[in-house]
Amino acid sequence: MKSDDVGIIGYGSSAYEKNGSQPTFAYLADAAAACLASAGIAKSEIDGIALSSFHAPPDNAATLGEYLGLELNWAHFFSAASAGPVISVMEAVRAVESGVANCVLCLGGDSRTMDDFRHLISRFNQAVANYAAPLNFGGMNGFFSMIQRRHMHEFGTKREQLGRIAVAQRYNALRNPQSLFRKELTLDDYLNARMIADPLRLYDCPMPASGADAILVAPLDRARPGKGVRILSGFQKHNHLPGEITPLSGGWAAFRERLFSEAGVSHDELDLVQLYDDYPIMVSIQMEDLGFCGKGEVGAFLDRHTLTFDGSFPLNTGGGQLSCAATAGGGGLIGVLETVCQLCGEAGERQVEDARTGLVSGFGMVSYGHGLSASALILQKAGK
Amino acid sequence: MEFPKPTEDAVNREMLQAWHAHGELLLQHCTQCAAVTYYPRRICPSCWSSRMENRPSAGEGTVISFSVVHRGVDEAFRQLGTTVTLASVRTDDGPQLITLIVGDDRDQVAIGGRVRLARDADRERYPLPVYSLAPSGKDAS
Repeated sequence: MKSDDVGIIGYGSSAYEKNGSQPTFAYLADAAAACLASAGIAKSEIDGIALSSFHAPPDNAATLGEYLGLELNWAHFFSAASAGPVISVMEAVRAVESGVANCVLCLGGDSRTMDDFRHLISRFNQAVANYAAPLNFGGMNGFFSMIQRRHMHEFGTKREQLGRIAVAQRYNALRNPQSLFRKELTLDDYLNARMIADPLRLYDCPMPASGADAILVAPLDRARPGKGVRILSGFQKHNHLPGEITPLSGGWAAFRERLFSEAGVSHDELDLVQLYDDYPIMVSIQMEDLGFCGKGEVGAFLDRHTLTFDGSFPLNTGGGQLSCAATAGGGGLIGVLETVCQLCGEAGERQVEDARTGLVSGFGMVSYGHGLSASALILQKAGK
Repeated sequence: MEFPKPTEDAVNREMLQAWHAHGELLLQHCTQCAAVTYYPRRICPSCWSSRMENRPSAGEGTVISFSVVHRGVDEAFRQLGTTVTLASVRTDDGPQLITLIVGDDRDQVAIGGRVRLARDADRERYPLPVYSLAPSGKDAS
């Protein structure tokens, strides 16, 4: 998908918190209001809502519309998994292009505590609840630690290399006023942290948080001068490699070529990259699947690059989920927000110089052994 | 405190009961396309035929990967305060599954190592099929 006329014209978020101090809809409302303020668009113009959330049910996009006092022509609740929010932006563009809606708010967010999180992951879906949780599977940490071990075994990937992702993201997060994590992280801290699921230790794992993010999709001629963002291409893929339980590749590999060819952009032309960071090993697998390096070669790629916002491969420049906030439903939108913020030149202390083009990925729907769903967008600053 | 248990239904009942009663792992064999499936489904995920037969696994398999899980999710498991050896196993019959490696020598598990169904495991404690190291699998790498 590609659109010359419709794109992103606003972004905003609620405050992020470790434990939810207000209900999910309240965070979503804060994000929605911040988003409209950034775009300079009146509430009366919003006629579409895309919602991504784990904890919103039994609520949905229509009941959120009622809560926000909106009359809607388009209301969709996206797959709760964290590939969904990125997909919701693609679908919102299609809805506006087709004329079904005029201005669509894409919202992602959740309010939760650690107990809510545990309850969610052991009953994430029927396959997990019936065939994994009764084994004391350790949640996503258990599944992704098996994937990491296999990657280390097969390709010689080292924890010292994966740790550079976590350390760089913390460096970025310290320059993002919204980050929940405010203390510097060293490679030694990462390597020697408490064991969670061998070989995963504490700083490999995202800390569940509460909060919400919002993106406004509308005709680009409604954007404030210099603040519009175009979507050059976007794809999704689900259940790539059926039957595999701990695969070393995901759906990004299946659409990588079309993602770049449709966008008309090469890897070298990307100024910043936001990869879905539930774990450094999954960021690494995306680097391979999206073609930044060959399969199995990410260790050397990580050695070769500096990954901070001011480095040779600016990655998750706002700190990402690992160091800014992992807000579940919003977690999948945080990369879109950060990209838009950077392309608008509004990232302050962590601004990537001359940022014009960025890639964002999504990943989610952890089922029997691994994540089923992959998505990605290439975004570019509209106009000159 | 209750450990999480699988929920029996019309599709998985025979598999769950065969493990619980006899220490057998039943796999679904499609009589149309010969695909072998775990976990149980209503139709074959390869060809969508509903003609699938449950047949016992021969019981042997190879470790694709494993993890030593220190932090469980459910409170009941957390209170046990023990680690478990979680594994993904490719059964010789075909399908892959998530399982645990049990037995005193489980710390010798290795990727590529051979495992076999632990038919004598405490099946009250383990409501799903679990494996132990096969004698030939020890110290494999």
